[in-house]
Amino acid sequence: MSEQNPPVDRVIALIREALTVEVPDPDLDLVEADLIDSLALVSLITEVETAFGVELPLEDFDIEKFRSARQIAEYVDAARVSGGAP
Amino acid sequence: MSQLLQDFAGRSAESRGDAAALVLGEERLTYGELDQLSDRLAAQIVDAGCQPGDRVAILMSKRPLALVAMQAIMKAGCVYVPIDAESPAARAALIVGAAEPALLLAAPEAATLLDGLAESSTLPPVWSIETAPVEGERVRSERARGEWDLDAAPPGVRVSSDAPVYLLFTSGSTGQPKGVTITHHNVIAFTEWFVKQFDSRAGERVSGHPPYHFDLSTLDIYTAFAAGAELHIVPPALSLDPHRLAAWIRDSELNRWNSVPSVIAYMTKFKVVAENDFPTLERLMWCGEVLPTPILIEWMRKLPHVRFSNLYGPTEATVVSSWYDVPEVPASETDAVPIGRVVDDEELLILDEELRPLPVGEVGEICIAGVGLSPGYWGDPERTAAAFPPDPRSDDGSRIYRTGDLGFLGEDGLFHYRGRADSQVKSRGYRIELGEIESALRSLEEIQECAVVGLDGDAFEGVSICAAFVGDEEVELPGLRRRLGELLPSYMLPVRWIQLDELPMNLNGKVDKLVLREKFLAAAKQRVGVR
Repeated sequence: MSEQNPPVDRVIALIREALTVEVPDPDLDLVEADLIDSLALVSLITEVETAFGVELPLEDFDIEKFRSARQIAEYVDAARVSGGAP
Repeated sequence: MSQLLQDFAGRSAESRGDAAALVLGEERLTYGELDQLSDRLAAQIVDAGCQPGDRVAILMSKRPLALVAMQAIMKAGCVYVPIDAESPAARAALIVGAAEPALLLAAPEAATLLDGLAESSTLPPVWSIETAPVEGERVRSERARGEWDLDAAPPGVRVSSDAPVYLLFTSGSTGQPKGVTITHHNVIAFTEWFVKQFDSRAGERVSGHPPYHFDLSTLDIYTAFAAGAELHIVPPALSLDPHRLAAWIRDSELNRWNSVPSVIAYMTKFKVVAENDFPTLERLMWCGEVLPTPILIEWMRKLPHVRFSNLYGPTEATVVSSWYDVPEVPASETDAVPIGRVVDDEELLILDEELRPLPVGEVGEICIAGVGLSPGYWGDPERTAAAFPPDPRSDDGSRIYRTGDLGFLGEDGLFHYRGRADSQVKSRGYRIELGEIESALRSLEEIQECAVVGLDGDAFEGVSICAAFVGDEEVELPGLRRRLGELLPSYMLPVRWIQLDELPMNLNGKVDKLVLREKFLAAAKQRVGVR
């Protein structure tokens, strides 16, 4: 089921559930804080796609825009606007 | 005078001193500079009182000066011990406690880890490899580059080629990491075989991807130094960014890329490789775990100008014990890639539990004999004796190494890998004993009992580490994961968790890991179903 404008707290809940990682601050750089690695990143992308009903094209995936919970929420919004799958 | 491992770079400094030895971003170090800087640091290490055979720990992320540190430690006759700079202090403390280094060479950013280490361990003097000092709350460097990079004559210490050159600590099932001792002769034999087998040449551009506590880094470093090649260090920030990693391979005009399957699979997932990409690349080799055949097929089709080589070998037998050049695109996605033929002066034996040889085609334990064999685990004669028994075919004192890997010799004369005989798993190239994770989990007070299993995932994920536990009350998982992260490096942390009222037991009174795997599989399916 998809929803409009995924709020940051839903992204935080998703990270908590999918990766067992508590995000203390929506602007925390998850990579810098060593909270996600390549394996976690790929499962997070899949989880985000499923939870928010979007497709995040991996061909031009930009990790620089996927580093904090807030950025992830914005990335999902942008993917919707640019015509990701419903 | 017998050859020592530092002589490879030394000879390249004599023959091509102005040629680049190390490249990282804008930073370049020539063979001449590498030689001179390591002479200077070696002189200071000897001057500080380090004796031949003393251990010197290295605590820094990948950088040209880390290679200066290794060369210098060898020139001082000492043994280098790379410690994972990403590792939590509690685990690094176990390694420092076992290796008992006389000196610690660190980078400024290791200050936090060093502070953590100093809480539980007595540390030797710390020197900064960089101009900036190491400035922690508790730990400060005694010397920084300004104090060691001084004109000095090389110390001229020569140890025996059978002397230890480095210790690499790998996961241990009881929770104590095992320090694999490797001699100069071990690495020299491997390096000479490699350079001959793969025609390494001066000026060739090769990659340095794995961190220095991982034995594949030995391949990058010494095969490059022996050939007088350029070692292009993969910038650490790229490991999470497949698009930039691919661009880096193009821009560096790599000729040989030494990789691990998880990185190749990661790049495949993000579709970063184009048809006929990486035009300068001649060879791609991987080591550390199985590369799924569908991924290999995709890469071989896209890069017809590249040779693909599978390398196999445990740290205990020095990087590589067998290799296989894939001759053509595999016919079927279900064909497993062989681990191939044994390297020069080593033997692969397929033995049963009594160490008796098995006939062609029968699966048994892969055991290794020959020049690559480590003298054993540092300060641990018991585990050494168990893993390195006498060679059952002779009574001249020679030994074999029991890998714990299963495999067979095919009718085709090639060796084939068939998984593990015990509870060791590979994840992202790292060798992980599930027992080490269980031991760390058990030390947490909210855990009564626990069991950790590996679950085979898809081609990219490899093995998923899954932890089941019994706790006093409902345990909050993110907090549990965080506390475990204070004991284990992040690549060892479980990705799936189940809290149970009791662990399933089999008839022998042991935890029934088959039932546990079923539980994790069922939980994963349920999760997908909810969405």
